[in-house]
Amino acid sequence: MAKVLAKLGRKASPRLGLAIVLLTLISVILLSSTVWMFAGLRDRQQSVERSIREDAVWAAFQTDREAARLVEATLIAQTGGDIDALILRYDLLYSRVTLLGDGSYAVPFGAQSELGERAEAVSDIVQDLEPTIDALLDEPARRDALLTEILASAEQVIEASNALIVSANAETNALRVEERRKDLDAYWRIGIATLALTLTLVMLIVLLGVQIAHISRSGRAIELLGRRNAKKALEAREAMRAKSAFLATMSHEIRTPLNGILGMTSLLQQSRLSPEQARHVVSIRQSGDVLLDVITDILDYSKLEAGAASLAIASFELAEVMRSVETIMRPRAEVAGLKFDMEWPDWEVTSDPARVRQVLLNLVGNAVKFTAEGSVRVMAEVDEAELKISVTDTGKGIAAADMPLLFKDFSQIDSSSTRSFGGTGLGLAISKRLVEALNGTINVESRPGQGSTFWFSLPVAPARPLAEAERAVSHCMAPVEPSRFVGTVLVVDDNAINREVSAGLLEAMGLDVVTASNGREAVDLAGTLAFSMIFMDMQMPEMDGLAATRALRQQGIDVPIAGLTANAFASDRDACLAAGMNDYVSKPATPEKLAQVLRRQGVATADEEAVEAGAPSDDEAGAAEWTVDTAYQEVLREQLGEETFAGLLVQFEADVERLAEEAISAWREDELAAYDAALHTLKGAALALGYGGVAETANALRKQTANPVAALEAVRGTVRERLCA
Amino acid sequence: MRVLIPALLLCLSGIGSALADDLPQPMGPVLLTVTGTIANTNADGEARFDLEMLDALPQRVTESETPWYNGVQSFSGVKIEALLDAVGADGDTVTVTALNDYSAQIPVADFRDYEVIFATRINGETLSVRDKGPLFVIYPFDENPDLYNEVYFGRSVWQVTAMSVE
Repeated sequence: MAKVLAKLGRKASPRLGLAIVLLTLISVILLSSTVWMFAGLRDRQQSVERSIREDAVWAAFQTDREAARLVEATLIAQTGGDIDALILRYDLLYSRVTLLGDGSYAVPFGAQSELGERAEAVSDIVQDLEPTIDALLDEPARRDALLTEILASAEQVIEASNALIVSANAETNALRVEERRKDLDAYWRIGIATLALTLTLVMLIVLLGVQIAHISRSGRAIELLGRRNAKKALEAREAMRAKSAFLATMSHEIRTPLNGILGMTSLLQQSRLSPEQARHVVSIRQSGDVLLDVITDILDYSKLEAGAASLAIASFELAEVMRSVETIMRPRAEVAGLKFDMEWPDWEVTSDPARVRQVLLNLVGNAVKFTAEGSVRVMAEVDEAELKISVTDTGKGIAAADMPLLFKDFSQIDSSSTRSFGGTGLGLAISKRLVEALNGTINVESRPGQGSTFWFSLPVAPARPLAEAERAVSHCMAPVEPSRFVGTVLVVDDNAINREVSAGLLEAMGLDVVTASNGREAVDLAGTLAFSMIFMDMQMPEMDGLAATRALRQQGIDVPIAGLTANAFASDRDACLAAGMNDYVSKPATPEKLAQVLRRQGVATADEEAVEAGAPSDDEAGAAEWTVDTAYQEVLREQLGEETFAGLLVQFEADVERLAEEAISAWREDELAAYDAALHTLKGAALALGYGGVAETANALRKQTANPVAALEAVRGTVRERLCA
Repeated sequence: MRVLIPALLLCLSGIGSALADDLPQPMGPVLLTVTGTIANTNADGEARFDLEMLDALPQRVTESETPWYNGVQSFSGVKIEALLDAVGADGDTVTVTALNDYSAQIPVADFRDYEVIFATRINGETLSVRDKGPLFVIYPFDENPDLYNEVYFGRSVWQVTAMSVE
């Protein structure tokens, strides 16, 4: 750009100089030709004025004529004519003659010229005659002699005036020729001036043309540059978009099979496994979780980089976010042998809860990952509508020199730690961008050997402390959220593994599951069967989830529908809702997520069913013996790991629910073998997990003949209550 | 207006004709003889004026440079328009004739538009024939410089003795 402009400038400057010189020259020519032309015109004007006075010939002729008449009158007087007529003729001649030297006639008859001399000669003769004329009246006796004298003089006047006419005529002709020459001269001057003006105008037009051409050339060059730049920008944008699309596609492609792996692992964990198998499954699950984290990081990062991250600002209870982080992180910290503390005030604040949770999970995850022994402590404070959360660990700390690297993209301070700890190194970079997107700051204080404190603060106005009554009831938030539902749900997914995973998870919650592999099948099924809920994948062949949802809504089927997809974009969620869906589940579909959606959409829980069935409440039921072999459970925990054990507890609770239900219905239908088998299984399951009391109750019920329903409901209620606690 | 002025003139001429017989007889030498379509006369179809009669009519002094004299001169004399009124003239043109038989036609409109006089005196002295008297048609060049051209020079007749109204 600069180079081209410089080139234009170099080309332009001599041209510009030339143009200035030319313009100056033209101006001078213009001015002088105008002056010259006006001088010519003025000259002619003066000559025209003078011509008014040039009547010399006429004056001379009149004089001559009067002289002739005087001669005539004199001749008449000599033959006895009127003397008065003669005197009048003389007076007229006299008045004529005075004119020759007076007024404007004086100029052409100037004394210096030949014409002037002749005029004077005429004048002299006439004036010399005056005494003679006067004598005519005074001396009548000398009349004849005087008349002869007058006649002679009058003839002299005729002679002289004739000469005057000739002279005047010659003079006038000479003047006329001179005037004509001057006229011609003036015309030439005017002509030349006009030509000069025309030339000047032509030159101005040419200059203007040159200038316009120059401007348009510069304009074209600039336009070309602009277009080139726009093209470059477009290419860059295209490249960026392609990169983002590639990342999004790749993460989608990876998440889909991973979803299968993780889902199947969840199902596997809920089945009966040998302790060794359970350990292996836990390993698979953990590896899968790490892989999912990595992919999520990359996806998040690409979205942030493309500026596509959208914020969902809302009021939320700080406690909810903190508890969900604790739920995920406490087990990890405890597995790593770390003391884990969390403290938070009961406040309602305003920000993007999902982003706050993401940042906090990242910071706590790092703390747990990089701390070999000691503790991890999370402190949240709200001060003047600013939320500050700090994560303090007793790890090895960070050297001051390494601190600037921390929040950089794709950087880990110790490349060896990449191997030992894994991860993309994007976590803190993403956290920094997220915090900044929320108008907050993130920072770290650290002393090598003593530990680090990562903290971030965000504006969270409006914020208010919550009264005791408003505080969210501490729900049963186990790592896996055990729930029992009643009803039939439809799972629509084109991927067989995903379908099986979702179906398996939902069946584990007590639901009957029908599956469909595309939208078309789903619409057909929903038309004939009444479902409590539909889980609908978005991208499917033949008819995708959005189209199927629209079709269902058009048919007036208002069953709750939740979108199910591997894409975690907010735009996908919006598309789901716009198509008529009620909810949204991002893959991988975990039991917790599914249960949350089922609850939100009002799918009947087993508890409600029980209440509807008129089952006795816990109070009325005979209190089941609740004895737990804690020592045995401790052994199990150690051998299986915390997560697996937790999974087993969920499984146990589910089993208790199912088996109690089976036993009750078998007893009601008088199928004693089935009744006995259910109780036997229940006893076995209880013993396997160290719940001796439950096992005893089950065993006792096998042997009695009284109505066992109340007792079974009691067992079920107790188990549910205890395991949630 | 064009209709009005002739009407007014007719009216005035009516008044004049009532006084026709009262146009006095010239006592001194006759300087000007007016003929043509005139209502008031004092001779056989003519109106004759001596200096005294002319002096009795409305006068004007025109001080102006002319082509016939050196420098500014003071001309005084009778307004021709007043003279025409006095004789009850009815015409568009007058022909002014000089002693040397030179004559010029002058539109009557000139006398309405400009205060043209028959000068009888120059710088207070009576014009003799030698001084282009007895009467000299003088346009008001002092008030109307536009008149300073050949057309009006031609109408500026000197040594006037007669005027005919047509």
